[in-house]
Amino acid sequence: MTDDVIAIAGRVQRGETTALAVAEQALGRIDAANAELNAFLTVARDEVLEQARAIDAKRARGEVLGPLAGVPIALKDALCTRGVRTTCGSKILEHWVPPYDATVVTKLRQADALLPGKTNMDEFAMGSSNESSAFGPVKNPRDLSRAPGGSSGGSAVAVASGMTPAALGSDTGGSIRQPASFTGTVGVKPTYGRVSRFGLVAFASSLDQIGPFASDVRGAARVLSVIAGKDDRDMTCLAAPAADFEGACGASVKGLRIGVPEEYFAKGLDPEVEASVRAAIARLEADGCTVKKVHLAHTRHAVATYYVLATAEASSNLARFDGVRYGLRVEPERRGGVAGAGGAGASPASAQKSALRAMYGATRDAGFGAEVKRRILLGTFVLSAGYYDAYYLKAQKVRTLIRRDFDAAFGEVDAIVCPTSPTPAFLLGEKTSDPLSMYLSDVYTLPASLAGLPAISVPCAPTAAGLPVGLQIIAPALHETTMFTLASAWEAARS
Amino acid sequence: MRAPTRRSTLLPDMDLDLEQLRHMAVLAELSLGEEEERRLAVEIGHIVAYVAELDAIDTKGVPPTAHVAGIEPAASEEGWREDVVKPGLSHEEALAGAPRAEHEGFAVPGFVE
Repeated sequence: MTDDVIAIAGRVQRGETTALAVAEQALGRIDAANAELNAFLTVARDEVLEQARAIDAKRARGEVLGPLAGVPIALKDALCTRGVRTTCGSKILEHWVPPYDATVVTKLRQADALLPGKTNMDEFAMGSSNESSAFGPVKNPRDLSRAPGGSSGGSAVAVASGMTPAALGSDTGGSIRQPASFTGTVGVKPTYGRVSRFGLVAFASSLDQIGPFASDVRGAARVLSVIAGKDDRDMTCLAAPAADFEGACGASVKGLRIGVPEEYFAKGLDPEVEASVRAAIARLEADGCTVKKVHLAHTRHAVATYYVLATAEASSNLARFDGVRYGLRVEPERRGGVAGAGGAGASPASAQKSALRAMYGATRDAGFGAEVKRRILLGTFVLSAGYYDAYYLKAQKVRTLIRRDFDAAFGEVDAIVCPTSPTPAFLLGEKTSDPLSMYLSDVYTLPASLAGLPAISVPCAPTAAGLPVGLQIIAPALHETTMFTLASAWEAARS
Repeated sequence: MRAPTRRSTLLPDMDLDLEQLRHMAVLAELSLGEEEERRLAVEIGHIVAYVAELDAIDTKGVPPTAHVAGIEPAASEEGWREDVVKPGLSHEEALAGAPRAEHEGFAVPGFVE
């Protein structure tokens, strides 16, 4: 009996099992594995059992169940869940309980999914290894000494370890695809605007997009079909009707033109990753695809462009965490009638702060971790007077060049196929002392994010040591169906 | 902050010293410790030096991309939606997460000396 999304939903819909039995099994698996893997930050035990009973009661009344009937789906802890705490991997939100659900959470509930809990992540989604979480790193179940990738590391591991058949993550510069690649799962970043971000804690608003992880391509397609679609509460959400993502799985790839960008097979690419990805491309060619070289000339500037734009947006978005309306508040001791936030070593500026600003400063100093502070300060710098044109505006122009590269390539091909990450999962601790080397590990996922394009990571042949490798398929905007067709064809060929 | 390894022709002075880092911290409302300030100055200096590679790219006549999707609803088929009042959070729900609430509002420390 398979435990994938489609199979579980079918069994619950037909009454071959109950949602309650599925929920109990998922909770059992989480209880057995989570202490070691640290994938879940909050297990919503009572809530998921209640959801399961309601779904079973609905079926007993003869009502038709939704497309995700009784399917356990883990939620990245950046997604607001009414009544269940949402930390975003940060101390500043450690005890925050949202008063509303994210739109994607509402849609999953309406589709009769089970929501067993909230998954660990890099703090505010800022990281590529899950090591910036305030609640400890997630471990990669394929090799416990290695990072699961990030920032949606907990969601990837929930699926990779079989705790849940699917999960939601968010992808700003690769935060779904890279952990999918590191853990041997399927991860989808939809077209920018395909899925509502209402209720997603914002990181970089011109890039953030919610998407699914699943144990197989078809399962990911079904979850995407549930969460996609227009939402009045997110003005960036597109009106485009959801296509038949699931129907695209299993369609013929004959005649599809796939582009292989030379810039993605450059220096720094692990030879085993290259061999695995090239073998997958050869197989797709054997199945009837046309393979063509394409050029994405500005790829190497994606890291610099991204780290200017994303940190600028983050510095603005994270201004809301100030100890007033929600989350942590730290009020520094007042010395001699003046709030001395930094104690004896405080800079002259802080000595003159009002009690309110001293509270802001102390709250944010205590609440944010090192990586978040680094990015807020970098973002503040690139937006500050005298530097705005040279960094921020310049990066926005280079973003246009990166988009034009893709526009030109998609004039010749239907999809672009390349590695998801230049290496398999790296060791925990390997890159934490050098932020720039961590940023460079995102080089193959950032361009599609900057261009707003849909992309999927699907497992290809692992390395000799058994580490997973991800094949990335990038499609033109709103052409997720092409991406699903190619990914499912490769998945079928591999197994 | 350490001098970036790469100099920009566009920028008269890219050396971010400790004073500049402190200024950014004031703008970002972050009260940092001295040791943290020094560490961040070095780390951010390295990243700034790296992103300065953008300066060498020819972007003459290239418009900036702020956003990839059409975010001007007036330009879309549907236009702006009607301004309809819909139920939102109750007063109690909105205040439930506040670290301090008084007199049915968010309580803040003094900001007038």
